[in-house]
Amino acid sequence: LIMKNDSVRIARVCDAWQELGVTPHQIRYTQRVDLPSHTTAPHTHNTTHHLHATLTREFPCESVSVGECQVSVGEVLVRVQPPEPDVIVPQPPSSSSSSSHTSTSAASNHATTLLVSYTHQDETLGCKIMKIIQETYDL
Amino acid sequence: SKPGPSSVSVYPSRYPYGTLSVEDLMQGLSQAGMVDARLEEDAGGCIITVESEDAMLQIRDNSTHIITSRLETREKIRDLLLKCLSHI
Repeated sequence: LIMKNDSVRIARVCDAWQELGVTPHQIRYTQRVDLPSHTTAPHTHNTTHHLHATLTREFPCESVSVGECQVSVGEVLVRVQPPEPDVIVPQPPSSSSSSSHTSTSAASNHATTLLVSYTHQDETLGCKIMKIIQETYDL
Repeated sequence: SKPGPSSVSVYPSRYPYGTLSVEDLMQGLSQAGMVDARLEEDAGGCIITVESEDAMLQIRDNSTHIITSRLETREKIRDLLLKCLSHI
């Protein structure tokens, strides 16, 4: 709403910036959510599609789309990152054997990570999506 | 309670503009208890890391990107940022 020279009118945000002669400062938030392995679908692909189905159901009035490892709701992006690959942990040499051993670390430590990214303008939607994710995955 | 299906078209109450004063932000972070905030310059601007809060801020002339895993931290830093920026 622009009030100027005894008049009031409605303008688009980008037009208002231009008229005021200032540059907007864009604030973007990216929240990282680690999904415990027991709550995650076994593959990143499944997590993405599960998330897409959930968000489509929750936001029937918003534009929800799915891509490879990501789901977007309006301007809010949720990226699904696969678990980190197993880390090779060297084992101490056994006294009964001279050969060296290696093994992978426990798989239970690894989790699929969601990156929920949105601008300050989309904070309300971003926060709702965060809440739905927390409820869906019992976090 | 679980949010019901609806269109979410709520506009922010404040629209920030201009360049962020990194000095003011560093002071604000310290006053908010994030005393381990570390400032580093990079090619396009600067980066602030707050290890104790698992947070990182990437600052450019007309944008700031807050990356964190903690909801409370995001809100604390957001409020500090909005205090340091002009807004309509």
